[in-house]
Amino acid sequence: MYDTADTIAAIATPLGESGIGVIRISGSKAYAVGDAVFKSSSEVPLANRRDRSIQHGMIVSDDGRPIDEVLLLIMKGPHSYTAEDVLEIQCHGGYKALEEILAQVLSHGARLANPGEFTQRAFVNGRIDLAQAEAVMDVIQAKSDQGLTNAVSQLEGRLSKAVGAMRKELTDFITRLEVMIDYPEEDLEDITVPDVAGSIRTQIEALDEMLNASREGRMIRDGVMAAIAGTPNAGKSSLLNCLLQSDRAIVTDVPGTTRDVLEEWISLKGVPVCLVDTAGIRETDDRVEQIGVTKAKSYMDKADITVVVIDRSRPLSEEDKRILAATADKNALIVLNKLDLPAVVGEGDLTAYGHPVLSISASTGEGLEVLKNRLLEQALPRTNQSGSALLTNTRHIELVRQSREALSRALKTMEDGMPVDFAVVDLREAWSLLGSITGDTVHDDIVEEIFSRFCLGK
Amino acid sequence: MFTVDTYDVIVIGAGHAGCEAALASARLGAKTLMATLNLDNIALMPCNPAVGGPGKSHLVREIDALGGEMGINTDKTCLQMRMLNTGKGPAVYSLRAQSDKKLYQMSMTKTLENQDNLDVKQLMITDLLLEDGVVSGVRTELDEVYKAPCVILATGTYLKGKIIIGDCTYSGGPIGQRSAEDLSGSLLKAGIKLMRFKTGTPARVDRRTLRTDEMTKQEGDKDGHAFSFLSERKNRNKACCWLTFTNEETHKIIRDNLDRAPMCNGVIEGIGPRYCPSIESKILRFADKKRHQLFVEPEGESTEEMYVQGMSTSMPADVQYAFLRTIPGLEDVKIMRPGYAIEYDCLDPTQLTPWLETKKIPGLFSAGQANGTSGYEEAAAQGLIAGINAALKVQHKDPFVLTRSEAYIGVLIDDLVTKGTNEPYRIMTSRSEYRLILRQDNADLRLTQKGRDLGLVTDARYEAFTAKKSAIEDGIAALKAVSITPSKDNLAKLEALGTAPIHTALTAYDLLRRDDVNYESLQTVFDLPDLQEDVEEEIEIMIKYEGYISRQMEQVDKMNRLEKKKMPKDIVYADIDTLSAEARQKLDEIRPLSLGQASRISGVSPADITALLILLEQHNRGDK
Repeated sequence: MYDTADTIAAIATPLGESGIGVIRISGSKAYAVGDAVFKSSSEVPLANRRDRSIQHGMIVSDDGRPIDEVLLLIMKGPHSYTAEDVLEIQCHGGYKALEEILAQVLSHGARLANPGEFTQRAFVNGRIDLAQAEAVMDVIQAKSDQGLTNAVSQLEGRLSKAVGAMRKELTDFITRLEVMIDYPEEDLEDITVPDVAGSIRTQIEALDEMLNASREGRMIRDGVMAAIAGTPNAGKSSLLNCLLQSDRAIVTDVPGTTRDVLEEWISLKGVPVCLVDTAGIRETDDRVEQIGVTKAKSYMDKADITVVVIDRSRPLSEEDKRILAATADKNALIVLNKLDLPAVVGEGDLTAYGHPVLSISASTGEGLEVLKNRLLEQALPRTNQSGSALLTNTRHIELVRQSREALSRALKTMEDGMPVDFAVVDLREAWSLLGSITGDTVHDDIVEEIFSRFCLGK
Repeated sequence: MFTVDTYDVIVIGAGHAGCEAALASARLGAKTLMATLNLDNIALMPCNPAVGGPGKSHLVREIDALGGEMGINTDKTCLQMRMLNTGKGPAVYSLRAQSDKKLYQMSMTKTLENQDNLDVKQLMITDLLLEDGVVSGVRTELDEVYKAPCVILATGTYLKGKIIIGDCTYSGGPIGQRSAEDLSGSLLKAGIKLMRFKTGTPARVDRRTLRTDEMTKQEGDKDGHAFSFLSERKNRNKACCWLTFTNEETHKIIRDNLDRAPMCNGVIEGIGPRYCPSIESKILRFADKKRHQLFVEPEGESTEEMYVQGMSTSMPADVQYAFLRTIPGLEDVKIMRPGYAIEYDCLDPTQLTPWLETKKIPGLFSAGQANGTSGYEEAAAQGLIAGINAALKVQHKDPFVLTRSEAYIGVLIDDLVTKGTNEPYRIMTSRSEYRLILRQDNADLRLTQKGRDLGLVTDARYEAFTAKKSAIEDGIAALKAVSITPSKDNLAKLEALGTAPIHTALTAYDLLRRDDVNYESLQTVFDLPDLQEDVEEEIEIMIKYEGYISRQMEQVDKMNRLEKKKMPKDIVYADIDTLSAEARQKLDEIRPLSLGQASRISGVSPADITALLILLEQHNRGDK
């Protein structure tokens, strides 16, 4: 929180944005980080390009794969918000792209910014006044009071438990290794390198599993996107209103949500869900309609789940069938609307599409609760059997990733046959990184542990 | 009362802290008085006859690099040396010496008595004298007054010392010495907070009554060693130690007599160290351990007394006899002095600044066991720092403080003054977060220049240091200059070294990274200059562990950014409402010098540090 010399980075645009997303990087290494992840037609290092200029290019992965086409804004210190060298990456919206770019930035020398940290730097570097700085303090103080939704806090409780258990095991190794170092002449059972190495490997696997499963956690934290598809008269709007109405009090008020793409946020069991209405993309002209379908498809591609609304009181239209066909390889849910009217289409008629089918009435609200449960359940990936999907925020993911790296280094040190002292350095680093997840980082713990567990003289 | 004399600095105590304090102060030009209860017991080792070990050897090397005396004196008077931990990494290599106790004392006494600017006197100090809350001198039991603006407490275990053996207790210091009964009261009156700690020693036994054939002989290393960077590395071994173990019978005798153990029946109230427990505590706390190891160590060449390391006890004499005689090798043992526990007053070290002056009373410094530590090396390290700073204060110069990333001395003192201690504090390598940098081999490279700048490092030491430094640079340059191509000739050389072949050209420097070559082996096949042993070692460590060391340097840089942010002297923590209540109270008590120090205080959270960071910025802007 208080290290002001690191280069920090974070997603600067809020949840639920549409057109573009911004990642801000600030600090002395901002341009070096930028050079590592950004490729453009120019070979000139970013630091040498003109202040306040806009650069066009691609963010690429380490193996050269393009991640997203972006614009870079160069704002050199001290004339930037933080008074440090700042780089802003404007990319296409959608948290997948943002997330991937951020991960790439973090793996090239930037550290994830803490809440309020850009503002804090702005103050520390003399860019803003005390009143503004106090506002930052409020943010920092408020952090612990922040009400977390049930779903999130439950996950965090499980995370603390899992990380706590790992850390306990690490404490045990470190203590046993340290006691060998500090009490070389004691009559103690020596811990062997293969003992430790085996367990470290298991820990690395567990952390990998956590990282792989982190997507679900992230969705719970940051929300899922549900595309609502269907012909205009199938009752999409009334379904949307119905969902919004019932949750009006808890509709997420997300700044930056652009109304004209018909996005609305609701909260289902504490998980933010972005409902995207694909309405209005159908035009009478055939060629334009083609474009409309393509666009609807692209929404479905981005969405975590597609809800296809069908009017059960009328026979399936060609357009219904086209939409259904487009969901073939997607995570989708078919909703038969107008349960209050006599049925022409039954649930059985649609099972061939391979998606679950539900019947509701948007006007009476019948079946709505079932739909909400089903929607959430199906939107979240089912990786949770192992109980490993625990990581809900970027800070935790970053800490787990760094812990994993430290453990890998320790393992390599041991496998290379280096003296044990060198492995302890990285074990301790992993131990304290994991501690920053659970909030335990007291250095003396190890010394305490040595005394409480071993009978020592000399 | 009459004023005998006026000094710049008065050191109370002539133990390991007192000796270093007095020497440093006098060597820096301050007119210094060292007061001891007994001139025959200067630099006494009341506990084990050994110097060094993990963390402790690091301290001795640091003291030496700064121009202190402990390393030189140990080299002069030791009976045996061993390098411990050689398989566990160069940062934790630890030298340990068995010392000839009497010789150690005599040699140190000679050094002190011949030091310019230093008077050594036998005095019982009863009062600390203050004028307007500032130190002005001391008074003795004979009502003599010695005036000085700086007084260093190096009182060891002598403040209200109480010896306990079974149900026998009496006031006194170790080995039949007097205790200082009045000084504690004078300190309390001055507003100093005291704690009551306890430590203990084992029995000393007659060497002639040992069955050495039943114990394992432990000899010194054949390789030459030395603590001081000025001493020649040579084999100094003159005596050996003996290793043996307790058994179930030993434990049964102790268990059966626990009701007579002062540790257990309420006689002892002081807090003892967990890392050096008495044998009765070991048996109580680690009931399932079948045996405990002990070393029988010589106390000196001029005596038959042997120290039974690991069997510290305050049990009654008959119990001591009974359990010792169950141990293989000690069946016929005759005790020359029984083991005892000692309780004593010491200062709560959180009352001190990082230069070991009390925050409450300007001019009052404190060092060693009086600050709640244990160990000769810990005491000497603090004594050196207190002595330096008392002299600097007299000369109106800025205090000298070592940071955690510069020295174990920094770790030791920072721990004490920032976190305090609730038991006698012992240094350990695991207490340092920068262990790979704070090695004993590079203590001279880390600290000699600082010692020189202070004025403690002699010309001879400084020349040795600069010569070593440039030899290291030359050695590295020579390694980089040897380019090795994968020629037939070179490949044959590598094969002869028993190391893997190369495919592209590299330098001898690169090759030295491999764990199967060292400088000496490279020298047999490539053209490299002859280097001194210590230079070779240094170069090998620097090259072989470069990656690890540089990563640790980065951590140091990171921490130093916080260390460099200084707290304003006049800051009123109670008024800062962005801090938690606990942080306000702790910060006010410790009064950290830097944000880094503040971050190590228990009860001060990262959010508190952020609040302080913002406050500091406000403060700095206010100054502009």
